[in-house]
Amino acid sequence: MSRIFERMRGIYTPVTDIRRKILMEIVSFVLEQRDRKEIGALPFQIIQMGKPLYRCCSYREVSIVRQRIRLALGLPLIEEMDGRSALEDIDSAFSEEKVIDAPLVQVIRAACEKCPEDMVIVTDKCQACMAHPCSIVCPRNAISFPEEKAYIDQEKCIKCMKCVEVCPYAAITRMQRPCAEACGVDAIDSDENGYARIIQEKCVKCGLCIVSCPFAAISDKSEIVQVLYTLSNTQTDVHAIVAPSFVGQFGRKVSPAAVFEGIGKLGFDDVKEVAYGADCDTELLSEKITSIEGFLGTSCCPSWVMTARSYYQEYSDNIAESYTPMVETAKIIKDAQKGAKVVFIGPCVAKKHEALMPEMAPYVDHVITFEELAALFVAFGIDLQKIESSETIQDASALGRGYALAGGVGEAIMETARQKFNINHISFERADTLEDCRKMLNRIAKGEINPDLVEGMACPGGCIGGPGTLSPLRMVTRQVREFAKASSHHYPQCISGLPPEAQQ
Amino acid sequence: MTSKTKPITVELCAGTNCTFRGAGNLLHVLYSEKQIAPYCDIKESSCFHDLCNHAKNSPIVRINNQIFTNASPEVILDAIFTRIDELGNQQQ
Repeated sequence: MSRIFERMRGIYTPVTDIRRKILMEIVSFVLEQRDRKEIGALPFQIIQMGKPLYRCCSYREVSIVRQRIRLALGLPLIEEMDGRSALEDIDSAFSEEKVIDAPLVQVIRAACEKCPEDMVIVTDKCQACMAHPCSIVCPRNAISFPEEKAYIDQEKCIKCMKCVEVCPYAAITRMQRPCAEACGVDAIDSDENGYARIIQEKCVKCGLCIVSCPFAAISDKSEIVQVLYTLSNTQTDVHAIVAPSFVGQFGRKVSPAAVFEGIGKLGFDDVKEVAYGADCDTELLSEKITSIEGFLGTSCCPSWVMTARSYYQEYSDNIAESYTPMVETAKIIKDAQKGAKVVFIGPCVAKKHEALMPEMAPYVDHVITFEELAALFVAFGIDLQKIESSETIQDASALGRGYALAGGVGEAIMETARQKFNINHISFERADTLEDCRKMLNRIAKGEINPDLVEGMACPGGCIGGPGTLSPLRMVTRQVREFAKASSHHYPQCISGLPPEAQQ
Repeated sequence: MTSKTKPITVELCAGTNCTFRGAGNLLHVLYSEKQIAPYCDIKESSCFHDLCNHAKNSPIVRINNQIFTNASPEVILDAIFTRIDELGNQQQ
């Protein structure tokens, strides 16, 4: 069976909807310059009292929304379960200063339904049949028939799935906790009360649990309010740098140039493709692959890098040390213009985490997702479909723009190594989703595969499958490819920190 | 398929408000439902004069001349299949 995030992918559920409604309301709240004391009224614009849709009562729904609002403001989570109002001390959020800090991804316990961690259960379809092959194939003798249906002793069950496979009625099924199933690094367990708990030391902030929890109990923090304040400060130049996966996120009829122009209308002074930073990385890695011993691992996905480094310390040196395309792009701007601010816009939760690292923090001021960007467009009343832009964007190569897709990073490095250094035989392995990344590294460790180049991506399908995206994968893939073809140059052109226009 | 126009026209707002509230996902659902293709012209339209009221009623869909607000895939697909069934009954 396909995995949790693949099953739910592309379906617009109430989980997605509540997240977006909250973002929309908060942005409007700031734009309308409403009195901060009125923030307590916001949950009631989102939840209709007396008509609970998803919980036992609307009071609980309101309480959860208050906690979600707090995280959307970028503030540390206060759980009302602990006896405090989630909307106290919110003043620090209304500033252009960075307020988000670790932990970035958290469980809101009031929203967590404490679903079973992992168990094989017998459903009502069971007929307690004469053949009962389930109990016969069970290697632990865990199945008995006390009443009208089979009973599985959970203490004995080892989840080998043999009973599931043989049942003539397909009456036995495995029930897994969706957040834990989505997590590729086993970072989710339960606390003493049965609520899901994120083990922060293990978590690599990929964000897949956020979009996989069917009860919207896991959330990251947003910088959307601080970005609004940054934009309203006319004294500073604010640059938006946009990840390669932006293409097609706002509908098929919205051109990349229209997205850039829309971002400009929000008040950004300049917009640049992060695919340019990707080009710099391609050049660096295609040169590095000529000299490294063992394999070279890509460095653009922070969740993959964290996973590879912490689970496979012996391969730590194999993962490229280079900055990610986000930081490479931000660096060019910051080096050229002191005092400028940089906001990264991407599909990614892990980039929010990356920008918190002391080494990266000077380059990237804030990080928002495409979903958060869309909330800005909606609140500002900007309809991208109505923008007819005649501008063409030429910040990056075709290969750099391909970084958005699984396999694109490896392709860029291999093609560039071939063209620049005449290296033709690079054996390449790649994986998307952290579970598959770990399988790949295991195979390398066992010597089953022996690649020169290894690409890892945390999200299914690559960055276009990220938790902060808006559009279905297949639609975006086509448009990313078209935009890559439209580039004036196929191979990267990254000349020692100079932006492309300065080279001409 | 002939060039003759199809009996059902489905217009889906592809403005930014509706896209934010799931229009892209809905479009994907409509294109994936191969059974409706012979009967439906699926069009991405521009904003329906802010019928969505700043995304509050998004997404907006128009099937022939009927407007649907807060259009969810289950309602839209059912509305389309109902019309297809009616066409079948008329022919009998």
